[in-house]
Amino acid sequence: MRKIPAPVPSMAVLFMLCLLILTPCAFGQEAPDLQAGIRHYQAENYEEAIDILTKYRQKDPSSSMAAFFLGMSYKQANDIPSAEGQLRDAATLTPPVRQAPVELIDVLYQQGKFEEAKQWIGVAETNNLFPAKIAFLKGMIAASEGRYQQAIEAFDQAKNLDAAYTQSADLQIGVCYMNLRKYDMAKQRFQTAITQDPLSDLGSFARRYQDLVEERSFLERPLRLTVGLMAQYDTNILSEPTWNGFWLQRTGTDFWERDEKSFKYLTTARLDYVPILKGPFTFNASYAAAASFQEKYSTSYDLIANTFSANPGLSFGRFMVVLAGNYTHVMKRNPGYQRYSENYTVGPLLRYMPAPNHILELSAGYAGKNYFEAVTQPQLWDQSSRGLDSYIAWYWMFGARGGLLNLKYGFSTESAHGAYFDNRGHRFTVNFMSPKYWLIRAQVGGEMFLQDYQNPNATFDNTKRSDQTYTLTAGIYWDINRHLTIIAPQYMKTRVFSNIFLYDYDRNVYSVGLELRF
Amino acid sequence: MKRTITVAVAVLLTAIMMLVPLAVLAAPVGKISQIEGNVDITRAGQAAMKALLGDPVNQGDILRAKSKSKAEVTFTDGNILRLAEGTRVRITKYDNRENQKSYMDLFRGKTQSVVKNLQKGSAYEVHTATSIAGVRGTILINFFINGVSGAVLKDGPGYGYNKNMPGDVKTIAPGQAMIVTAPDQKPIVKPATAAEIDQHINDTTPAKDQEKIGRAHV
Repeated sequence: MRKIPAPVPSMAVLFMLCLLILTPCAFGQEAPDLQAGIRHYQAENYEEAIDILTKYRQKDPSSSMAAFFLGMSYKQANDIPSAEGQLRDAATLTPPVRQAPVELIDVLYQQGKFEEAKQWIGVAETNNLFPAKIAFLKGMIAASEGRYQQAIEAFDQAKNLDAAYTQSADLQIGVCYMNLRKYDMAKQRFQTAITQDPLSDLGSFARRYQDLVEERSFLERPLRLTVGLMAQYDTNILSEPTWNGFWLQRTGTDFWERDEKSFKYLTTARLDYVPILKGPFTFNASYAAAASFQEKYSTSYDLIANTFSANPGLSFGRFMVVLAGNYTHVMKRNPGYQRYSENYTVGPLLRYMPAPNHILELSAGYAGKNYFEAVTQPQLWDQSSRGLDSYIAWYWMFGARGGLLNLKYGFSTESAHGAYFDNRGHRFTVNFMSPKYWLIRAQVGGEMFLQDYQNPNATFDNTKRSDQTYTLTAGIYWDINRHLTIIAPQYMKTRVFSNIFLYDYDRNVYSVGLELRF
Repeated sequence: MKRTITVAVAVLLTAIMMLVPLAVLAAPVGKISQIEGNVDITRAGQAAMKALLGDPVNQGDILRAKSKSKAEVTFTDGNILRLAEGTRVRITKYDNRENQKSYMDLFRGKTQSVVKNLQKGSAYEVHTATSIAGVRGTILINFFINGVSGAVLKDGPGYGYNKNMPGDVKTIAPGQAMIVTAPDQKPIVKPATAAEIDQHINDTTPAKDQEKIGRAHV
């Protein structure tokens, strides 16, 4: 008998040894195991669960349970798009997982896929699956679509079906009422949510919403009263010309040499009516009164002005059309209060929002001015006029603290009763309001107004008057709270360059004051 | 013989030069200074393991705080990272030298970063799937929950942007929050109320630190 050579069994032993060594490596990698995946999910090891359940699904694509736990793991790991497909499988494979439609509706809602979510709500309702949770999700979708009344009904239903939803449903109902601008009802619901468990996260959210409602109900109150009190120092209260040589030559007297510096006290009151109308309609109206009392020349320069304005409009989302109208009546002392002037503007205003925080405005109005003081030769010197007042403006609201930049160009024409006052004007304005820091805002503004008069003035060597008015304003505003702003200080400089000396003047006004809002 | 010694010394020096950076890279960048509940740590190429108080934290480590769990990492330079419950974050790069950037990848949940020490020209950032937010010295709270990224600054300025819109960098002032609601949405900067900030701090601060904060306030 032939002996088996010695090396052969050695090779076989070596082969078996290798197999024994390598086999554990091959099987050591965790085999796709549904139970292991579920255990990882339950232990909140979502990444490990995803790894195992993905492999398991490749091995057994028909497992609805694997699809469900894989979908839930993705959901917990914040991968909502991946969760969607798995949960859909879990809801449609046989046997379907009972909880899958509810979770699927949630991920569809989170992704804004409301139409499909609503279809699955129908499925869940037909099969009476988790009715309270479904009612709650129905409410969330309705609220996201702006159907607040239906959302409130659904949240109430969720509460009635399961008391565990009471606090979150009350919070959501409060948000719906807030969006419906029913602030009192919103406050009531938030208070209920707080009372149920003041220390919970939901209680804390409800408190924050309550503050927000308080703020909004103040900002959107239909009747708003603003009162301003301001002390001013005016360096040229009479708008005296910078040079009076002309009158000196003509009359031989220094006619204009008067003490033109004076303190002034200015009070203003304004009542705004801003109702919230249904549909596309908008409306606001206001009445404002202003009175200025001078330290000097009070019997000839104190003024009282009353202004009425009304602005009905239609809003079409980003586009708005308003019929803007206002009327101002001014009384001046002489020495008792007598009517001095009136002016009005009426015309359309178009407002368009090309992007969030940007507003474009275009306005063209018919403007009229009447002066009641009798003048000699009214055909030449009566300033009463009719004309066009128009502008185009751009507003940019920037930053979260209320910064504002405004650029405006205006064009106006005045056809006056007195020939010397027919004019055309171009007005360029820039205003900047800084964002609010530590309750303080700063404002800077500048304006250039170019006015060309149409007819030569015989009194001034047949000169055609041409004015260039430059105005600079700067101020600091301290918003103590929503009711009180301190204006300290504010500065305004006006410099008018005119080719007729009488109208050429320089003026500085320094102000401090406060504004009260109710 | 002389030649052999020269070659040997050269080889040795080369080996040392190659090993030193590796040693630096492998050095811990911080340690777990507070732990509450169930927190695990995943080191590169390893499975997750339970994290313990005092465990070193290296660059590339992933920390995961589960329900009702919180953790705090104190970096070697004194900066602190706190994890709220349900948070998973990777210490992707931590380099406290000048002109270097350190950043974390926040996969889910909420973190609080107390950035007290940053070298000149360096930056500290937290990245989420949709946003990047950074600071140069403040308390920074970040979250990525239900697809919404947020960054809230308590004191000191910072910056942030949507990852898909790196050209639109927003400045975040103290007391403001930046929110990115979706990958295709511009970041929104809005005021964060004191109550909101307190809530975030409370969510992310382990109980022992809350006791310290409470004592400090008394």
